Amino acid sequence: MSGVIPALGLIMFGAVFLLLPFGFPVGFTLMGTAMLFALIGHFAGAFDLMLLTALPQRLLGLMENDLLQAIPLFVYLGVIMQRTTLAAELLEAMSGLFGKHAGGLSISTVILGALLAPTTGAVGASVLTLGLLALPAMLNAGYEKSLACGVVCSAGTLGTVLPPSIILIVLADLMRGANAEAQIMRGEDVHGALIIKDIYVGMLAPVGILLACYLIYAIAIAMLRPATCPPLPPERRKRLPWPRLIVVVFGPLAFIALLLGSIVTGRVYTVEAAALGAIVATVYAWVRGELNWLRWAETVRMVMRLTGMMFLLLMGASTFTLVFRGLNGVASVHALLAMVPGGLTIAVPAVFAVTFCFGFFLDALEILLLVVPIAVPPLLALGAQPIWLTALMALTVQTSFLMPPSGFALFFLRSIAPRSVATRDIYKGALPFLLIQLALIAMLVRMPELATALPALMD
Amino acid sequence: MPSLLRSLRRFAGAADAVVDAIGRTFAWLVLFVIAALFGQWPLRELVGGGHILANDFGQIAHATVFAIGVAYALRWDGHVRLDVVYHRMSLRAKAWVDLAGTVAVIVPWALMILWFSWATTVRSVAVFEKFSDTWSPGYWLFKVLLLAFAALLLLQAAGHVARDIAQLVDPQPEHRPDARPPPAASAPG
Repeated sequence: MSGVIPALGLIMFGAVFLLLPFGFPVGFTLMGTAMLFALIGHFAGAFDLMLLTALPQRLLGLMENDLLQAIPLFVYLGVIMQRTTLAAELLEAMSGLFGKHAGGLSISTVILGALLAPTTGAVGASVLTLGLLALPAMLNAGYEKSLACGVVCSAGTLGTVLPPSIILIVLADLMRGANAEAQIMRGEDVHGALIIKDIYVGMLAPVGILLACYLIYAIAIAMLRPATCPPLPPERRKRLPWPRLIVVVFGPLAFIALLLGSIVTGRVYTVEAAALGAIVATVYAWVRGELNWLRWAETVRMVMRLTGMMFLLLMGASTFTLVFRGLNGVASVHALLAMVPGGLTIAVPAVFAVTFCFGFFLDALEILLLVVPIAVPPLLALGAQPIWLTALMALTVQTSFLMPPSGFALFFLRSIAPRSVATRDIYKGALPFLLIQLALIAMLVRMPELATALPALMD
Repeated sequence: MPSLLRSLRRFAGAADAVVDAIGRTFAWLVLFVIAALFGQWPLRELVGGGHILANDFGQIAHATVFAIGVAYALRWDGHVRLDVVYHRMSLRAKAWVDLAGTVAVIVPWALMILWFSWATTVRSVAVFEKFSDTWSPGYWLFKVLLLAFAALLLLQAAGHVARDIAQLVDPQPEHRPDARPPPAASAPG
């Protein structure tokens, strides 16, 4: 028994994965596991039940957290894009610009993925959205199946890494907490308070390179093997008149520019940019006659449901980590990682290998909420650089979604791809993007400056 | 027995209806969140005042949306779950999982929140607690919201328990007729 008590936190972590397959909602499963182990810990004399009285305060903390304000705004924008023809129109208009050149649709899909990234709360959902939209378009145009699938899968995962998407907002918030905890563990101010802006800015260079690689790949294929991504036949090419084109294509681009500008300059807050985007999209949809009171009501209800879904995960994780800490779980992870020979050079890959495996059955928010509060504070306390670790975490999770056989993005695309698309096509198409991801991760490991230089430069 | 079953099902339907009505009404607050969080920009840059109030009220509205959203999502089966095994289960097995989880997790968790936050909420409302950093009025609303959140979750959980018991005793092919199939429900966003 005495050997079990210190490891109770780790056993609790394992228990989650035994309970999740029963299919009860993830957020509630986390709460249940936490309560169960709080009781076990109480009877084993390893947990003070009074700790649980801190729970309402933690929930209030979630309610007051002004970083998370952006979530319903982005969710709203995403639902509006999905429920109207805005996204479809955007794809059509962008690919129309390519005229008789090959690769218009595949390149436009990557860009569309980047444009929809901020609204991504679940990678599965954004792969579905993109897949329903772009996959039929590409297949009808005569694209090679594997190329079409690869582009959709990888573009659908961009929300995991592109700041300030919902997923990155949550990651940034978790990293802020982990950093504060690491400082308590070390008893000294190692890296100083972690500024959210620095996390976002730190993501810019790696994500910029990633996007550039995606685009270069799509363009290279269009030039080297144009038969795999033929242009639309002339009679189906649509060229919008200039005024519409400016609104449809440059509107969203301006929105993304505003979002990124809000991160870098700090003159406008992310929530303000997001709210502006929501207002513009709403007005546009009304003017185009795609919104009426009924559809608007459905939209806000959907937003409420999805926001509730995400915050239940946050509440579940909050309950879970409270008990995990009460059981000294973080300390045992720290002890475990400190024992690893080779220090951080082995400890970091070990943590990320585990994280990578979660990508086979969990979506981004669930993975981050489980891994970051538990495994990141010890890594930071051992001296890892927080901004670098954030970038590495986001990229690792994203990459795991593209990993055959059951990466989340591939899995969701399979669920909606027509029968004519073989599962092998999906794997084959994802492979080049997977290689790009792995190359970038390797680069980031060798050169942490990729993530850390820009924030340092801005200070 | 049939009359008991009928009242169980009627109660479950009533719980659904209440959560639904509250959800539908408060969902419009999403628009207020958008307006307030956008509005703080011109208020700060052009008017030079009121932006803090706009942000604080936007925050309360945002918290209301997700607090009610948790129960609302539960009512529409919108919470993410690991689907690999679950979607192959029989209706009976699903009802068992749902019943066990609801009784063992949601009910005690929500009761715990109610129990632990009751006293501070009463104190907060008694003095109409303000935001501690900005002095905006209305901070007490968060605390009331926490109670309302737990109560609504409890109501929906009770509805689920009633429906699951009815289902286990007297199986119906359409266990939860209005809930969407899981992939669509857990996915969009």
